[in-house]
Amino acid sequence: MTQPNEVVDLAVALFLTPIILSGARAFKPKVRWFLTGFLGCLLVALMATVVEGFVAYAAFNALEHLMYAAAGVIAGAGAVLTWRRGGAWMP
Amino acid sequence: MSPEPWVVASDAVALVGFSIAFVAIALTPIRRLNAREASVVRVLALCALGIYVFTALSNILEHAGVTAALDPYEDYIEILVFPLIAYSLYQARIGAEMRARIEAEQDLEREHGLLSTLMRLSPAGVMLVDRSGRIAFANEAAVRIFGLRVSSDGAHELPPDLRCTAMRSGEAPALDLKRLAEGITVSGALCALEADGKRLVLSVSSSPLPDTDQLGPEPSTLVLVLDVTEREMARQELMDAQARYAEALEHAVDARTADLLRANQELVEANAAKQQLLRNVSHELRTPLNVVIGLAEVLGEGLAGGLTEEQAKQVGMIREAGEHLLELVNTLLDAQRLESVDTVVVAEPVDVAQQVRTVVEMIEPLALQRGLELTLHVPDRLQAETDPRLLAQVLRNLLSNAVKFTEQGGIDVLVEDLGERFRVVVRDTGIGIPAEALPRIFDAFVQVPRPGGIKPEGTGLGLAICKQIAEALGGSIWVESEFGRGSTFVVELPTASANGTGLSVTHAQEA
Repeated sequence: MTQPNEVVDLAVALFLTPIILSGARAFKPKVRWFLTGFLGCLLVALMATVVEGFVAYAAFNALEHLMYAAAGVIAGAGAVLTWRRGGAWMP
Repeated sequence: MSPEPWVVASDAVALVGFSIAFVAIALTPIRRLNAREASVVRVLALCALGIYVFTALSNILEHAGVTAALDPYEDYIEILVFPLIAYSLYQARIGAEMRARIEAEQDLEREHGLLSTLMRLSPAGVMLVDRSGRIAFANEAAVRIFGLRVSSDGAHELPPDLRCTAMRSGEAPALDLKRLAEGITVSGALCALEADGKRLVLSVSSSPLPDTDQLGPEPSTLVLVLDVTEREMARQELMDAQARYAEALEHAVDARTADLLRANQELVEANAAKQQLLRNVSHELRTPLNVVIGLAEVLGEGLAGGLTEEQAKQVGMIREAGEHLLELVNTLLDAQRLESVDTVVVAEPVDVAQQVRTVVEMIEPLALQRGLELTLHVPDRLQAETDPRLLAQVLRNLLSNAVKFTEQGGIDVLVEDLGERFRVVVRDTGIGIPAEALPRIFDAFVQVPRPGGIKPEGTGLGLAICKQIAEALGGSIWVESEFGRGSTFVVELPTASANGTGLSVTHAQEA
């Protein structure tokens, strides 16, 4: 069953994602790609969380957890790369 | 709730990934932000990542069937992730922009300081004239040069009686504030300025400043003024010195030219006297020589009585020596004539074919004596208007040379009618002329040694005289030769007499 806070989470994420991405134009292209991938995975995970309450629970639940795993991998890889380059995330 | 291994595995991957990201962000320096801003950005990012570390841990515990106690907290704090990320990135961008702005301001201040110092120290006067013709800015040098005064509104003013007269004709006054206000461009215009009782020469340049919003609504004209009085005085002194030097040089050249003309005149007179002497001596020598030769012939032929064999031999030697001497005298006269260029062409109708036959007949005994075959190819008649005496002299010289320089074989003489010109060709099978000697063969006193280095007889004037005569007759002469194979001399002359040649032409009936 879908919980209200999950819907609110999704709504907040959908509202802020374009704002975050437009502000990220000041960053280096590689950083932008990592950020877009990370936010995209989180958005899909949040959508799956909401949808699993209505249909195909097992599939969407699996999708949710896979997307969190992907977001974790992207976040880890992006952060490590930035660290190795001494924090050069802006041109 | 039964354990879900693959969900647990996914959450474990997420936990590891977010944990690594957490540690990396904690360690990564954040450039282009000051310490406070960097701390804020870092804390916000770590909070967002920490929430996901917590969420992943909560999910692992829940789906592994350990406990679901953390799940309610997870639901509440997950809502903060996107705002935290948004605020963190916003803070980072704002901080970076602030840093860039501060750096730009510092650069601007540095440049301003540099320009201000340059303006203050510059020996060139710098002024800014605005659109209304006011001097909005002037540096110390400009104030000193013009004696500028500060008006009530803070602008500078030129003294009312100041005039800067253009030094080049046709140039507009360079310091006209009205024109400068219009934004004219001037490059190094010179003007003379009377200021404080002394005269200055100024070089004035001006250029409008770019019309941009940053510089205000009224763009100005930048005026640069340089005091070039010393340079101009030095230039003037240099020009004066040059003029004086040129004048002195002209006088010296005139004096030297007069000396040279005088020396030349003396040389001409001396040369004329020498030629006159030579002419007189030659003529005086020829008369007794002819008598000696004539009497030697009389004696030799026994007309004055019989001679012994020894006497006849000695008389023959007297005659030969006399003839040789006469030939030398004649050559000397020719050389003198060549030098003084007083040959006069006396043109008259001539049968060139007949003239050539006559000369060939004259030379033929000599050729036969040397065992040479002399062949003549001439038309029956070839009428031309030329000087027969000079034509005969050219032919005699060419044929004499051909006989002299041909040991065996023969000599061909060919006369061709070319219409307005005719050509006489003398071809021999003699020793020929080396290629290196050909360009100088018609020069006076040039003699080509025979094989073995033996110097030929004669003075080396024959061919030079031939060339002089051929040109005097309006024609030309040239030679083709191959060393050891013979030579071919070609004389080409006009059929009608030519006026306007290098030498004077007189027609026979006029002479």
